[in-house]
Amino acid sequence: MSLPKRIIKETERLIAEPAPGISATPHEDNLRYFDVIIAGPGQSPFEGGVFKLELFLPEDYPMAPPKVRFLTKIYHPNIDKLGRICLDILKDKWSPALQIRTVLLSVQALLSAPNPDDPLANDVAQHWKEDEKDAINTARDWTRLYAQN
Amino acid sequence: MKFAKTLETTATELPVEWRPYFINYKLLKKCINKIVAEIETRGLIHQITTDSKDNSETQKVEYMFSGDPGNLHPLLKIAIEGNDLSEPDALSGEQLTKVNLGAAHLNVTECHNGSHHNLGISPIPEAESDDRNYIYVELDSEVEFFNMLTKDMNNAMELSEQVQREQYQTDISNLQKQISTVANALTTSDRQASPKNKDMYIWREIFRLYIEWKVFQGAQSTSYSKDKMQGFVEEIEKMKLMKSMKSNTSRRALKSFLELNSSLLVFSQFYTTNQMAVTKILKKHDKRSGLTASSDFPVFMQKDVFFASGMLEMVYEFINTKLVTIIPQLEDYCCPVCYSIAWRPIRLACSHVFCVRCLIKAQKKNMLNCPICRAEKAVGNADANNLDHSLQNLMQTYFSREIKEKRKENEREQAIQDCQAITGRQYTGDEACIIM
Repeated sequence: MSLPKRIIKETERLIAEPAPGISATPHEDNLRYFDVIIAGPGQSPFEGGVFKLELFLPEDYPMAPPKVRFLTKIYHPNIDKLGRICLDILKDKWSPALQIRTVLLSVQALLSAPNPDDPLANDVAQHWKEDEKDAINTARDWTRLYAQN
Repeated sequence: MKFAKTLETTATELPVEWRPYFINYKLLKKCINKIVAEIETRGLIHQITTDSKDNSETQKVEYMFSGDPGNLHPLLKIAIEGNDLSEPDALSGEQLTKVNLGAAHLNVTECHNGSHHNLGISPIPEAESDDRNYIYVELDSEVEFFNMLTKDMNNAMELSEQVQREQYQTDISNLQKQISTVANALTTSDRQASPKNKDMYIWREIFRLYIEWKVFQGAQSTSYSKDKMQGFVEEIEKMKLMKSMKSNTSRRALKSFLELNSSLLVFSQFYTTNQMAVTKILKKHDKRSGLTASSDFPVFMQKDVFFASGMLEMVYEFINTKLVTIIPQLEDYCCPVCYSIAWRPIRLACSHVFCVRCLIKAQKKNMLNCPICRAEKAVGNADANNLDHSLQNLMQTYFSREIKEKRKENEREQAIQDCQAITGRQYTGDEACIIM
């Protein structure tokens, strides 16, 4: 099974010109599977953290969105216990003109701007809505606990 | 001191005939000494220094340039409040005396040197309608300094313009003709044979590399450009592009193209060094004299290309528009979904172009909006009428190999799909919406 030209080109560009704060490396034995690292954005409760994710390009990519999941535990209203991400472009708002790079940039932006009104992790979103300060403190604690080493 | 040295060493690296066109940094520096001395002997030091410290409206030295670049008059415009005498309380006594002293001193100077037209108080260039009186003072050494500087700048500009006009423009135009005949598929009548027998693909590669290395792009230093140029040349050698050329004209043209670029590097060095010399000498002038030529002089010389640094950009721009565009680059004709040539190009209502294959796939998946701008139903409404014929013709002329490859890809994909249909195994289809 040969890799489509698009995936090869995207991978080349990702490695040649990585987006700031983001790295994505394909597995040697499966070039559709990427190890991703996103640095917690500054001025967010995730600052200073290093978050691991996995990204998989399904067979019909780019007609279908990549599958992305957090591997590092994170306290975020739009990311659940299993690391699944609630992001429209990963679901119904996917467009084949989007790329791995743009997807990961969106995930990075989601860390800067949590959206408790469209929650995936209900308890976290509740916390965020009721006492944002306290929720942010918990997120900071989790970042220190799970995303720093 | 340091810069004078660098200037000298740079000069030795450049063509002999360009050397007289350098800014005469040393002479200008000596002239600055004269300015300092003149300011001192004419008792202006007070005026200039109080101005920088004290911003009060009452006593202001304004530094200005009048005349035109060929015959320049730097002036010190010293304001004396018109109603000084009627409202003496408005001013502190000390300041008042200073102004008066200064004015008196100047008047004396004029009397002494009544025969010398350049000295003393100049006529007021324009009618001032406010209630202040102004004295305009012109310093001999200042006049000398700026006329020397503008003369040097004009010389440098003249050489630059001459080089640009006579050398680069004709060189580039000639190259354009040469490369067009050897590389451009459109110039031959025999279309069938043209792309294969010509060096179009090699030239495309050369220009692709040229764009990639960005030899002259961005306002970078000359040494940066030198490194980039070297990288570009090495890459061409590594890929044996010159050797694989079919026609001798091609090889000659490539040689001239490389020569053109190296001579541009030298020119860029000459140009930027001169520019830097002007900036440095103006800074030195300001530091020693307390005046503000660094900001005021460029404003006065505004129309001058010297400060605009447009000359070099013009030449690069010329290369980019006349030469690099002779052959279209594949990147500009790729489908944003599959990243290979957008063959058969379909232009959606929103004017975004995709290859027909990707749009069919999208339609099958019921993704009906434009992938780029999400224009509603743009994909859904597209049909055979959306084929862009002129674009298709252009692609046929310039990208025959890529189209062939794309056709093969499409056939293979089609075969796989047919196979799946026969075996009944389906990988596409609408699976339930799952996250992850």
